[in-house]
Amino acid sequence: MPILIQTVRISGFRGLKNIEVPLELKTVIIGANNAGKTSFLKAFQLSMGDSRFLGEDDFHISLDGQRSNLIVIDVRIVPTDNFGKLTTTFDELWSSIFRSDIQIEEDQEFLAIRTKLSQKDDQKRFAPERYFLKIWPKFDGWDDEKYESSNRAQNFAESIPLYFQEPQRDILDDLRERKSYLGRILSKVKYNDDDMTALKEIIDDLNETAISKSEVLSALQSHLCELKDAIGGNGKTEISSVAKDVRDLTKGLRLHYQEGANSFSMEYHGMGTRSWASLLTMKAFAKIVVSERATDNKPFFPILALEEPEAHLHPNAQKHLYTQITDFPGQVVISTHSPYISANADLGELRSFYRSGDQVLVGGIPQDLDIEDKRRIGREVINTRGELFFSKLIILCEGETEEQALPVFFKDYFERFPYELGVNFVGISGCGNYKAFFRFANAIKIPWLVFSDGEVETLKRISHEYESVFHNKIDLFSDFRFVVLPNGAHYEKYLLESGYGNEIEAILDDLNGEGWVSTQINKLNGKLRKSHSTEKICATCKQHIFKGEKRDYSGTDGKKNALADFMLKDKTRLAVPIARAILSLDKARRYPPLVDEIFKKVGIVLSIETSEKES
Amino acid sequence: MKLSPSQKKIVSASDGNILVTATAGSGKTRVLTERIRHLLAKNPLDGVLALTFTNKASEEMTTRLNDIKDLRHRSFIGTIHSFALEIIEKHGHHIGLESIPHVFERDEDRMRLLEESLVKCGIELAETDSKGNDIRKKQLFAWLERISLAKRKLLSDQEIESEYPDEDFHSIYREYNKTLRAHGGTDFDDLLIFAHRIITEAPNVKKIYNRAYSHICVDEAQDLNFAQYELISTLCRNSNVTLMMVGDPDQSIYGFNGSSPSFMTHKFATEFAPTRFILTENFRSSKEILYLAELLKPGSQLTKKTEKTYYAGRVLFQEASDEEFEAHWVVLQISNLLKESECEEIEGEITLEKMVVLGRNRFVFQALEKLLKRDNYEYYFKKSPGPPIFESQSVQIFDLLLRIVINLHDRLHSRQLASLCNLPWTDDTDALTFLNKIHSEKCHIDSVPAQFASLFLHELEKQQNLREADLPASIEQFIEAIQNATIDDDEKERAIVEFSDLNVHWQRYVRGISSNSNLSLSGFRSALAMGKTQPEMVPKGLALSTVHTMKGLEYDIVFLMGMGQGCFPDYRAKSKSALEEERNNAFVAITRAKRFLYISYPKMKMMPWGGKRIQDPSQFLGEMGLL
Repeated sequence: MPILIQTVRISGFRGLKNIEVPLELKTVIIGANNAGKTSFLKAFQLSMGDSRFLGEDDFHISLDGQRSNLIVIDVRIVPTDNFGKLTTTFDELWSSIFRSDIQIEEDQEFLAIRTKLSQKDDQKRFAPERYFLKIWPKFDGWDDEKYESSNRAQNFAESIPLYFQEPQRDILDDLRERKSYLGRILSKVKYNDDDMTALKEIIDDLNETAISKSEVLSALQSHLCELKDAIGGNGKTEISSVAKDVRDLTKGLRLHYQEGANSFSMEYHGMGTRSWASLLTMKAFAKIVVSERATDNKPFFPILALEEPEAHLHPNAQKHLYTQITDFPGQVVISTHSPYISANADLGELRSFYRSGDQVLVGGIPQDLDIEDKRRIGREVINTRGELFFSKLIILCEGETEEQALPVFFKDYFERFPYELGVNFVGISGCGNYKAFFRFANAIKIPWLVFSDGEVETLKRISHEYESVFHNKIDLFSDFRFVVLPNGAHYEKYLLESGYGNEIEAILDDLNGEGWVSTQINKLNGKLRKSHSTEKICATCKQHIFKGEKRDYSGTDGKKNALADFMLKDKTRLAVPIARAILSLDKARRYPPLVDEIFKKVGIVLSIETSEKES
Repeated sequence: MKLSPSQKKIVSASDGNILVTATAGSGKTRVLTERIRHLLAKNPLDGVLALTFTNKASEEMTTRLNDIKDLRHRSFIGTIHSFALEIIEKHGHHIGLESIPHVFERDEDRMRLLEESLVKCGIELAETDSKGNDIRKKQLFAWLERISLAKRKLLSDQEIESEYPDEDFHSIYREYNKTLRAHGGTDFDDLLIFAHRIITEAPNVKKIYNRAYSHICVDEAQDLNFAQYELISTLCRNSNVTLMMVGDPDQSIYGFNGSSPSFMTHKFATEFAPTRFILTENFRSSKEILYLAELLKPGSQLTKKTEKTYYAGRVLFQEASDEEFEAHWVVLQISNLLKESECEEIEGEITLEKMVVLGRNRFVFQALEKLLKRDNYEYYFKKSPGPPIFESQSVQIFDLLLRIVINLHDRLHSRQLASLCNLPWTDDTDALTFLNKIHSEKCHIDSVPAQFASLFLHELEKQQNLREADLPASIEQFIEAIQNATIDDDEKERAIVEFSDLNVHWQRYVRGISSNSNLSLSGFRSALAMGKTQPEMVPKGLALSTVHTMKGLEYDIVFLMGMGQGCFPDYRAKSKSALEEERNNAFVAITRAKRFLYISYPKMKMMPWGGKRIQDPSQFLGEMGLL
């Protein structure tokens, strides 16, 4: 049964002052540039054995310019079953190398290893010191010396190697480089004696035929044989078109990739194919080592740290990438800016890095999110093609109409598409969904605004859900993050109340034919609405009593009711045309007041200068 | 070096509990280490816990197994207490021990803590007994012993109360433990108690150890006490761990501290139903050497107790025309052995470090030393710590005089000196009168020692009057006088060599002193007594040693040089008892060899003042059948 690096804690490394990152079997790290993603991967690499790259500049500098002289990295290793699910005890294989340094807390076994790198005067090289920890302390003050066991820990790199892949990968470099994963695979190539003899025959045969069948080459060879006259001795010049020796077969290896009838050498492929090929050789290497170690009955659990694997890849290829990577026979940590990769990951596998002051913090989707909420967020993530993870601001609104109309207003207001500014509109459409998005946005630290209906029931529900996530009371009408439509109105009603009745009527007529609105009003005024269930229960049949209301379309208010009814009936088709119609109005009326208000707030959150618009 | 068939049987026995009863010299440490090697090789995932009683034993075991890859990660080799400490250090937090407690290991410290607790308990100890002897310390020690014995029974506080009717003891026991804790410490016995508590109160921790160390091997198991046995057996109970105990019930030495061979022979035997093995072959000495030993001292304990000697060994004897030839022969044997490099009877490579050259006294090595230096062999003199020992009568006289001159109240040494010089002594003589007697030459006209004494005293008094002592000038005169005296050649030779040595000691003393004006005879004498003038010994290469210094030590290969009558036995050993002591010395000398013994005898002896002397072979050579 394998293991899992469950938690990594880092202090004093590059931008990481003090951070804890919980890991999954596959973890996808997202976050803005300079949020500390790469630093995390490098620190992880340090802790798992490779400190060669470390330099003076890797020590953290605090806000006041003080350079830290100590890097501390703790990893907590736990036993799991073959599917990465936590188990209580390490198996025989892992116990054989962890021995009595395994610790146990509340029946859960773990091994905690601390790596310390300290900076002393005039030191060019940094030798890591490793200790086992006696307990896994709480995060507060975790890097205290008192948790260290006095005996040094060994380096487990042989059993738990960390393969680090930088974004600049090229299979062509790998072919030349003996230390590359490809080079290391090739160095493992061995033939048995019989195969060696057989191969040698084939090669000699091939070379001889290639020469003898060509007059030109034959001539060349015979002329070159004159060398021996010049040098003396019994030398013989041979031309070989393929490697002359079996040992040389793996030298000068070439890779071809064939599509259709055409096969091209890797040189002719773009960086995308070449970097992908490089990634795959690394996976192949890991799988070869896995089977070697399994044969020797030795514990082995490789870790793959991948930095922005999406580089140079087409979006379709990026979508594939995640599946191919996660097929890796160990633990994987990927840092990415690719929405395609993050959209493929399970929500629980995501970690979002963000800065706050001089600290880098980590967010993740809470494990206790219920399945329905996870599904909703997941759907929304896919709807936005993963963009939601990289959003700079999420605007939550009640329904589809707003979700469609607000971006139209937005484009006009900011003169840019929402996605250009990293803004996503999410229509909650219906009940009970705010909670999931509050938690999502809070977990991965994306700011959010709510553009909400004013219906009493809706407001009650939002407050309730807000409180259940953030554990404090909220006044929706005064909180900066909420824009609430007045007088219990929904969006359609709000537009009518705000005096856009004529524009709406014009659109309806435009879409349905001249005079359609008046005709409909006349036709439907005083008719019963579709009956709906009431709270009263029939004494005889014990069922809810259904009741139909009469429509009142007369007068100015009646007309408003009528328009509202018509809009609701066809709201998705109307949302955009109505927004466009409003936008064609003069400056003063171009944005309904609360739309204007939410955009002002957007401007503040994203620090966009909007003074021009206000004037 | 190969294992004997009976050793091999144990080493390669199938996994399971094993009890080995082994007599002295039967190679039990080797069986234990080879068993560990076997277990580690056979089960690549397994770890081994090897427990010993001394750090020295565990160091030796580690050295022998050092070639095993990953030994450090796959084994814990150490004393039972150090293992207890490792459990406490790694898992002590399960019983609330956040850091390793300080261990008060010195009796003095524990006594002080006990005194503190006694005061708190209001118990006063008598300072003296009826005869006025100081008994305070003795009582404290007795209390500590009682506490220690109680702790080794792993009793709870309640059990202590029911087990010990003495109420004073309860309160002292409790208060002593409280005082220990208050000083942030524990004693050795507590270590076992804590470790035992951890694995019983946190069974999960026991499981970690069971997986980490699937085999436990205990050395010298005859010395286990209750607490130690409980710790080990608790670890093994209800697990797949195999337990091996090796020991010799006849060698149990710690009986007073609660240990007993019955933990090995009875408790372990009944509880774990081990497969039993017995080792009686003697691997310590070889057949040839034991044969010689038996000839020299028929019916000795050594030969009686040895049931079966495993190794044949080698004994070589050489009669040499003179000392130079003898030295050449020794060096030739050494170089041949080094060339042989490996041999079935000797573990590991044959190196100089496995050899020692013995002599009855240091004077037999002179020719050898020259040769060793010439041929660049590394060698050193084995010295016993403490002051140098002088063998020649003349230097002994000088040394006694030196003491008396420094301390004119020294009647003890005055009497010794009188007897050495054949001068009359009565118990009412004081040292000063005695010295005056030595001064007047009349009384000792026919006693050479007395003449020497007189000369030495003259010179010493001269030195005392100088502002800066200059002993070398005096020594020069002594050597001249000795050379011209008519005394035994052996004594003459030794006296000259030892006075030259004394010169060297003086020079070391001078070097160790800050300014020459501080030089004094008394300063020199105390530097001698403290062993400060002994040369720094780097034990590297071939060891040269006197028989006395080698007592209790053993080497694979031993050379015994200078076996002439007068040298070994010493010419002074004339009485029957003195001769018997010399025979014992010879017995010790030859039994220092575990495998090979080379004995040599030079017919001709060089004298330091030039000239040669023929000497007879030692009578022991004939007794051992070598001549």
